[in-house]
Amino acid sequence: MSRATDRRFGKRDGRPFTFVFEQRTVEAWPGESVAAALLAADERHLRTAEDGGARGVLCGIGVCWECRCVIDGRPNTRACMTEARPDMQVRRQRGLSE
Amino acid sequence: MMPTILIVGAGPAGLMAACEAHRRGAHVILIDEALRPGGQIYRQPAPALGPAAIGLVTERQRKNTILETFASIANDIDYRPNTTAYAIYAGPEVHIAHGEQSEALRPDGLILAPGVSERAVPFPGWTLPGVLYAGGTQALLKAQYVKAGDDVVVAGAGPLPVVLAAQLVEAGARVHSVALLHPMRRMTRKPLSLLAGRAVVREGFEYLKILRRAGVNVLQEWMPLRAEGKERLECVKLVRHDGSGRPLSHSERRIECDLLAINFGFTANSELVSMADADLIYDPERGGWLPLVDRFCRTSVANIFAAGDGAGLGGAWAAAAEGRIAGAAAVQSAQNNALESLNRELAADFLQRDRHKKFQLAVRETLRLPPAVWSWADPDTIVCRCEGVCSDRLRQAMADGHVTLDSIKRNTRAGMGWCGGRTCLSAVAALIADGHPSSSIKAMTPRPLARPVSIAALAQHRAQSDVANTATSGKLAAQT
Ligand SMILES: Cc1cc2nc3c(=O)[nH]c(=O)nc-3n(C[C@H](O)[C@H](O)[C@H](O)COP(=O)(O)OP(=O)(O)OC[C@H]3O[C@@H](n4cnc5c(N)ncnc54)[C@H](O)[C@@H]3O)c2cc1C
Ligand code: FES
Repeated sequence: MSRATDRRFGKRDGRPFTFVFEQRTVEAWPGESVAAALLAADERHLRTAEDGGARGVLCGIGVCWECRCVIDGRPNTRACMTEARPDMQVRRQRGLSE
Repeated sequence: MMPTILIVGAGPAGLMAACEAHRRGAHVILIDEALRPGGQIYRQPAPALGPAAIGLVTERQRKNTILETFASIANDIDYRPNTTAYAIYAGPEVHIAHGEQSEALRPDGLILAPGVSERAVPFPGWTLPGVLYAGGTQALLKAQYVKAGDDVVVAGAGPLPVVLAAQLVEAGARVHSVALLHPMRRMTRKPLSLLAGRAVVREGFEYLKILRRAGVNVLQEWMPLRAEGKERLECVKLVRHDGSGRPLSHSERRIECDLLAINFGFTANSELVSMADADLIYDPERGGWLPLVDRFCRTSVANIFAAGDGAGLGGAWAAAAEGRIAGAAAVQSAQNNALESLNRELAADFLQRDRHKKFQLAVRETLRLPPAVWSWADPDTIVCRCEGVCSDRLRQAMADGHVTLDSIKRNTRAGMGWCGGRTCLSAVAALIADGHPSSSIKAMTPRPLARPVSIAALAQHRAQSDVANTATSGKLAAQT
């Protein structure tokens, strides 16, 4: 069920830009976290645990580390605590680190 | 001499502590890992996002009062956002990190106001992407103006599920059902407490009105049976329970959705106070491991104070009052003055705190988790998400005689992953208590770091002499 409706609401200043998640180009707005931009783009699966299970945002506030991705080559980077920036390269993290 | 007061946490408790300590002439350092002041309930969006779009008028007014009061002193104190306290040693000596820089501070008084985290209750499928904590979902609404899903089920205990469901409706999501563990009327078991919190109760009715208008099903005495989907949440099965958390047959409801928001209460962020060697008590109803404090927020360790929800759940209003009390008490203590004079000076704050703590007695009636909740997990349901430890593995360890958290942790690795046990340990403790009611649950020996910090930050650690230097040299290397 991937109905891509607009998950954003409220007013936003500035202009949207894009970054890359896996192979996909994802839109983000100034001030948004990587996690928020990915959820708005309906990307849920942010890391794959050692047992192969898909995981994504749980706490949204930096506590659980379930959203850790590889961002611009840095593993274990929490998507919910990282501000999205133009042309960022974000990948799913596999296993404990990589 | 002007004492230096260090405050950890810029939620209502920490912000009000900062204002009060500043007002009394202290040099105040306030740190918070978040980028902006406000804490959980008064979380603020990035400036590039416009003004707040959701929330009741009354809540927004409260938020503005707190934030404006703080804004009026923010430039006169040493406020450091994006800065984490990751260790405390005797002294108190507090180690903080900002990006790749770290340093040690030795204040004359320390106020810990770190708030709470959401309490994990594992059930089948809770690890699927699309199952989020309700508070986390709310943080995305408040600070990002993003709904984490379009078709939503909310489940849990206490007031937050209702609040969040209403806020999602306001943001334009389709909320199908809210499954509450306990009937709301349970709160009336404590009528006097309800009266004490009537302003909050009124807000509760406003939220329910929003849900009614939107046609949201509010199911009472229901629980999540399982979340299902391949690589992401596709549907939720809810079921009615018998009042003690055991599912009733033939009452199952299957709902297709892309977001399941859950909240089963909170656990106090007590790593720091535990590392400071303060005496703790274990009270799951008030937030798990809590510092023992007196009415002036003093812990058992000299010059360390604890305030706000992290010192025992009391809600945002109690947290603000408690912050002021702690701020005043920390300054008085640092100057070796008796605290009793504060009883009169802060009479209104003691009253506000006591009133809201009294209201919490009613709230607690809807937050109490019946023991059967700890049997919701299937044997292969993951409890420790970082290390992938299943419920079955934990029960095996207990059967083998591991009945303290430390022992379970060493045996199974539960609680040893990236989150430092902040997600699963309260659940593991509850599982132990469930299986071994007689065992006393001791807080786990804290690891050297209460928070993960970058190796670079540790390597760059400034062997810093004392805070007096800090005061004169102004903002530290952390900022440069
Ligand atoms: C996600 C979430 C949503 C919530 N939503 C509501 C709600 O809608 N309504 C309601 O009544 N209550 C809500 N609560 C409960 C809430 O905690 C209280 O109402 C109120 O925010 C408590 O204030 P506080 O000052 O004690 O703590 P908080 O507001 O939690 O503030 C604590 C601050 O400390 C910081 N901090 C913690 N540890 C460290 C550290 N080691 N180093 C640096 N900084 C640190 C945190 O970043 C945070 O900003 C929510 C709680 C959570 C976790
Ligand atoms: S979602 Fe929990 S740390 Fe990012």
